[in-house]
Amino acid sequence: MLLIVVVLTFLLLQSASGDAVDAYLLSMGGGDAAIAQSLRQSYGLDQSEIARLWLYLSSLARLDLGWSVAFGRPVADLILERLPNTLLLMGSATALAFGLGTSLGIVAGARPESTTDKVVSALSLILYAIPSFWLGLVLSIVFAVQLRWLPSSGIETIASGKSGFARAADIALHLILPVGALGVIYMALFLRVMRSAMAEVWKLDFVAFARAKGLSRSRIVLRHVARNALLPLVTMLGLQSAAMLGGSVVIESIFAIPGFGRLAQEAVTGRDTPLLIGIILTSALLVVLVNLLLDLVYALLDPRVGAAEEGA
Amino acid sequence: MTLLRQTIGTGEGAIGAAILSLLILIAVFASVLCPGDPLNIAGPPLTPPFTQGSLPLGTDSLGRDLLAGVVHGTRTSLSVGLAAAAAAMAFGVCIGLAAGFSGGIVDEALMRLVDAFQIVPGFLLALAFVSVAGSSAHVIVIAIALGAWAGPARLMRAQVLSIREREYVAAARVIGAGPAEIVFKEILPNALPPVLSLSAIIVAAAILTESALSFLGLSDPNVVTWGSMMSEGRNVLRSATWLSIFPGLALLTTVIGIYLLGEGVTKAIGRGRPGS
Amino acid sequence: MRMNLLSRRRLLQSGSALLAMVAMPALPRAKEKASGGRLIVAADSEPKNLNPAIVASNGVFFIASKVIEPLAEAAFNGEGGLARRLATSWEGSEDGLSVTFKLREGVKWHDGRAFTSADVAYSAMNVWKPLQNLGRIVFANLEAVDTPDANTAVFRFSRPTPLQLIRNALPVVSSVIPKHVFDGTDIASNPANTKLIGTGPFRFAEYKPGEFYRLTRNEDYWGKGEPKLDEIIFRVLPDRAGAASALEAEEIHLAAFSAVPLSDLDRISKVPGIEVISKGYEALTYQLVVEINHRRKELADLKVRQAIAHAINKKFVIDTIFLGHATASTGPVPKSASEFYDPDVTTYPFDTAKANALLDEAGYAKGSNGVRFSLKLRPAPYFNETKQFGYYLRQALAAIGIDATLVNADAAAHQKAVYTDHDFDLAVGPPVFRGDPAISTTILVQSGIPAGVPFSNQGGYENKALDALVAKASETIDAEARTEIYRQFQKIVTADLPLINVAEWGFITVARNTVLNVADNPRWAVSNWADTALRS
Repeated sequence: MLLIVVVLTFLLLQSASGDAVDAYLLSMGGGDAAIAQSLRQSYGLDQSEIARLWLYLSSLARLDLGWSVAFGRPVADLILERLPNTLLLMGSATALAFGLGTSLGIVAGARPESTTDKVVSALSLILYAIPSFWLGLVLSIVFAVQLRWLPSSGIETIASGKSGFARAADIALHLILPVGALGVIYMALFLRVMRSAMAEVWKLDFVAFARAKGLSRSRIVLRHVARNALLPLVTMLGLQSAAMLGGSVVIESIFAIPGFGRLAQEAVTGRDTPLLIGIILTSALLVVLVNLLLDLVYALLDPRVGAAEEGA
Repeated sequence: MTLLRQTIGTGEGAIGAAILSLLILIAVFASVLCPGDPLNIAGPPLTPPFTQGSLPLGTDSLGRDLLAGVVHGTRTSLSVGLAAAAAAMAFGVCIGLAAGFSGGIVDEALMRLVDAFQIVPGFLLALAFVSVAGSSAHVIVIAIALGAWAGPARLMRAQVLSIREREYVAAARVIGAGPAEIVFKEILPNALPPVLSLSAIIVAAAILTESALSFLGLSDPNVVTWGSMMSEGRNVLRSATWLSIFPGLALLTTVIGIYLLGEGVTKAIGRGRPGS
Repeated sequence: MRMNLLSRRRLLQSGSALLAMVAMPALPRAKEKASGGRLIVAADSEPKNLNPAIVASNGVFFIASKVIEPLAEAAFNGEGGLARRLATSWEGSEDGLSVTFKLREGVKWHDGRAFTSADVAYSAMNVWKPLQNLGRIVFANLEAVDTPDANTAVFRFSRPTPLQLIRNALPVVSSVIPKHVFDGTDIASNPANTKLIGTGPFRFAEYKPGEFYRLTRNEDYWGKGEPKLDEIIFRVLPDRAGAASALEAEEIHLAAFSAVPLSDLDRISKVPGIEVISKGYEALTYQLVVEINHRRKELADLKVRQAIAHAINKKFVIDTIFLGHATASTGPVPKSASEFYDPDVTTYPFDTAKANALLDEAGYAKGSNGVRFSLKLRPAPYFNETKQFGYYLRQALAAIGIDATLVNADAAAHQKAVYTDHDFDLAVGPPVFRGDPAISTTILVQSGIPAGVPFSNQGGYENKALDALVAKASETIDAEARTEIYRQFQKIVTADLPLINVAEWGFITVARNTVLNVADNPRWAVSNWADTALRS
């Protein structure tokens, strides 16, 4: 599976117009054919495609992600450098989207078709339909430029000399806007899934039974309906983690956060095949990891899952 | 037809259908509503909206008519969204059908391919593909479809797996129907509706993805889309907000319309077969 | 060198106006006070190789010029338009075969070693001539550099090389790097290409990829009382809207190279405490050029090229695309290069009727759909303005019956398509005029350049007379005679139109008014900033 990812990405960049040396010469402001030739030789770009793919795969088998032409550094270093920022941004945004999405979903789903439900659903739909870059720009103008409550960009105050708790607080402050922009969009999806899942659960027999027992409405909502409706949400979380990693490209660019999204963009513009494969591979691994974790969570939430894994 | 009537019967479906019909009308009659190339310079640059009768929504930083842009953008944005969703659907359904019906090693191989595409962030894939293949409209459509076909494929396979064991399929087999006949006459029509209900969200996501690609400078320069209008407007977001507001509103309305219609269809299907 | 007169009413014209501005509230840099403070600047790119001796590009100079110095820098009032840096004098021999540089004494590298003529000789022979993108042209005939003593370097050339060219090129091609760090290593992969060691007013302290570069004050700098600042931070802001927001939020002090989009200048100039400055780019003139592929038979016809030139409304380009921050071009040498500029050339006023008539004459009649022929137009993706001009040109061509299809590609793909594969009919490019036509201008029209050289004549144009003129200029020692040849050059280029020069522009700096001595030389953004200061 991961091999398919690697080979496809490799072939994609091979079919590109312009290679890493073209991009590199451009960043140098020019050069001539002789320089280009010697650069291509030193990076092995003059060999055939199959030879290079083989070379790359065999080094990958030794867990070596290769060398980035555009950055002149090992790919693994670059990825490790950016990974914490990405994890932080993704983790917080997911937590926000999931937390807010489920709670609002519960609020909306508690009384299906009520006014609260309609207002919450409509608002979430609007948030979902706003392009992420526009939301990001507007948030930054309002909260960073006009109100000056929050920093406009970056992951932390530059060379602040802060450490420990002060540094953590500083990073948290910088993350509020990007996490907000990214989280709010995906929140809408979670909210809507939660709400419709709850609507399904309301129809089930055991809810009617709980009602008949005379349990209070809020108790039914939280203990019975919401809990059971959470299951499809957990499944969706796994699927959305890949989408969110993609969505971060735009947000990272607007808020100048050095994470995977921006690195990937630079890898593409620099035609840096090993780097792009490294990023996509790492993202894919992350997604797989998240899904494994979620399977565990799923098993905890729903004791029925375990022995018989669904094929689909 | 009944499905359509049922869909419109739901509140969401009615609103969604109304919005979409209006948009489709605008898209079809774009050249009548605003004749000429919307990329042509029509007046002084950055004319504010509602100040000139001939340019009701004002002009952008090159002096192009914003109304013409929004109207023609309806056509391109909808086409990009629909084409991408259709491509993703068609490919996904074929793969899902093939995997579900053949089983065995073919199924295994195809599903690993689906897995591969599902764990790779779709937008990264689209970004790489468009940068590499050049930003023309059909490349953008393919790029978006690349990131969207895996979902329908997976759902299609699941549907096929559950349907092919049902009685009427077995019955058809007994009568002596060939595999092709069984697939297209018995399995496909029954497996398709839930898969199709995914298409609404794919169209909406496709339109949003196109706008994000435009933001990164990857749009087709020969046509106007809402996404490209918004990303051009962002340089003057503070001094000429209307440049991104109008296409933004159009985009918002469309995405909401499509989404509501999708919900309506899902609901209608749910009502059509209680308990499914 | 004359300042270009492109500034508008609201733009700041002189340093004195800057001083007159009211003080603004304290900045978040608070921590260090007294001597100089920390200047925070927006950077939009992160050059992978930061060594200006190898990569002579503005993106690199913007950061590296504070650390590594050239022999001389451009100046508004200096002799011959130059200010001394590592060289204190330069003298050419009568025969044009040697140039003698006297070097500054008592200069130390950041690692404490003394700067000597050996460093200059090493840089010239081992880096500028063989490796540098522009040095390869300027020092093509450099044979050896003699070092009779520690403070004298004598450049010896195998063929006469005009001192005028060397002088004009000095600020760009002569960044000196330390021999003791690079000698005996693989120059291209030396770690000092990113962790710079120089003689400049600032030391390279730290680089956090994707976040910032940090430079700190060089206490041992040779300039008395310089530098004024304690620290410069280049903060990486990849998004174009980022610089303006950060300036207004008082997170940065300065954004150069039009990092604030032109269309946002009008608004931001009204924000209290922010100044818009159009000075300081006089020696960094960019040119908006329509590159032409002469392999297309229609475009090989002079009448067609003339028609295209007549179809372009330069006033519209200046007023609408550049919002007044540019000047209309008359030819391949910009007006700002007054030493060479010749206004007496063939011009092509905007005249659609004449353009149509020329095309009819050339035998390309309009078809039933109003189209004469179709072209592929590739605007370079590097600037917003080149892309916008692409949109405009498409329409301007439509008005004379030429149907152009725009092709957008990212930088690497554009580069390959135009300069290697020649897969274009027209392209929009932004070449740079670097003080002397021989550095990067004649290459745009000369023939015989191999495929793959970016920003060169890849349109298949060949004009023996023009080639001969360029060759003659390269060996003409007498400055006046050489200048005359380049006047001739401009006349031929404008008459034969190997390419069409549309506009020329410098960039805009937007800064908080606490930053002092901004734009005090014609290459300010890429100069050493030794006298730049912050008002406390």
